[in-house]
Amino acid sequence: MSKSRCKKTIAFVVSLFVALFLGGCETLSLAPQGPAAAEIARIWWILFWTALVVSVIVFALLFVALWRSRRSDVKQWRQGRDTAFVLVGGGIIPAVILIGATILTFSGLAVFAEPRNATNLAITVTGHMFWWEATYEGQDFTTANEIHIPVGQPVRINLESADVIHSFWVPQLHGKIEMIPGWTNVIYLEADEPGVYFGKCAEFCGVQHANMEFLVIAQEEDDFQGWLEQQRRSAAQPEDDLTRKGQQVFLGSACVYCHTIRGTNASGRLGPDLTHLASRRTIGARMLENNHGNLAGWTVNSQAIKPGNRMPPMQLEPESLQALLVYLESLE
Amino acid sequence: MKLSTRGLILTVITLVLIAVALAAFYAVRASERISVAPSREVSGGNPEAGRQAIARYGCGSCHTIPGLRRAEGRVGPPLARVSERSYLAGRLPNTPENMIRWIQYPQDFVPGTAMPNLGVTESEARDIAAYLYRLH
Repeated sequence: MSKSRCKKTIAFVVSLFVALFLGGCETLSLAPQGPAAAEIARIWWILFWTALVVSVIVFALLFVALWRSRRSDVKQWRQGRDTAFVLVGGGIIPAVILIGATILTFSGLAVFAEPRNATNLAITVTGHMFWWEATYEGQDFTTANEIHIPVGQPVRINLESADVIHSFWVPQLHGKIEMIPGWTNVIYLEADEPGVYFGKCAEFCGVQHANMEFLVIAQEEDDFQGWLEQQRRSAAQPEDDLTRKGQQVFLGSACVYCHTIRGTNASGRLGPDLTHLASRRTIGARMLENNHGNLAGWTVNSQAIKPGNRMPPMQLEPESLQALLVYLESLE
Repeated sequence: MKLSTRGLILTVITLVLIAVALAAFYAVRASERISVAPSREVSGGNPEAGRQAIARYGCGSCHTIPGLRRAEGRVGPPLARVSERSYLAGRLPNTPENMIRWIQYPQDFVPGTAMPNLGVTESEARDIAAYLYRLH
């Protein structure tokens, strides 16, 4: 390799490193907000710096070898010294590094396999194509796509699937865990600070895998208890004619085949529980902000928004639609 | 192939003549363009603010609107070139005033229509109308 091509190669490699480094600045997994994610990030950084140092040394050796090979009087192989260099540098040192990385990884896994302190809250999250069902054990309610947890406490999450393999991933709180049909995986989710944490499906599950997202909202204990109490209640009963008409539209349409609203006869299990739909920040598994306009478009034709999702378009009289929207927005 | 000066000059002259002919053709065509619809404009509206208001209110969940992410709704009509249409909602003459009122109070303006009242303010509606009238 000529001298100028050698320099160009080095310049390219250095700029690649810089680009990758800068590109990582926005990564949520490197901005942990919980103990499990913090442990993962810690292991990642140790491995990253180790790999960087090793790469620099190897590239330096490569450069030296290329530089020296220009000379006609290349040194002969010295049996003792050069063999030892290869065995140590190419065999023993990498083995030591890899054994160290293995110990580091396994000890890290042990950190979040069992919670540090006892937890009495368990949520069974079931993956569907393409939404998330969350049943709060012992609390008698099921919600969807928005999970609340108390700050600073490990919450047991039982992960299951209703159809294909999904993966539960909240990058700021934990690693990815598969949700396998016929099996239950368990993780403990804990957030250090109150906040809204974004989650997504991390195992390709079908045409709308990319839009299968959710929110984990960590709250102080009082706020969390208030939320639990609100969710445990049955759906609010209509207090005016328009809302009542909307409830009748709901109960008289195909909606009841898929959705549950506790406190009514609607007990479908194919789609998200709508008992407290209006208390959620998003709809469509975090695709749209939960507001009047989006709710209207989603209800009438969610296929145009999220093609391939399991909810069919609904043919509604315009007046029925207006009443239905008012009813759905009363479900706080 | 050997390059000769004469050949080069002839090629350049031919290309220049073609370019001039094309330019003349398009200039004449443009000056004779017939407009297909009265020109509709909204005074005092900010189209960029309108675009952001459209995203905020979720109009794209029902309408297909150029220039926005996730605006491919099929519930209502597509809004591309809406400035060229004669009627809104099949009932209202397409004027800036009607457009602004329609965006604000569809349920009151055209009872029985499917488009819901979203609580859009007058200035937001003006901005939205300004954006929509620019769509082609």
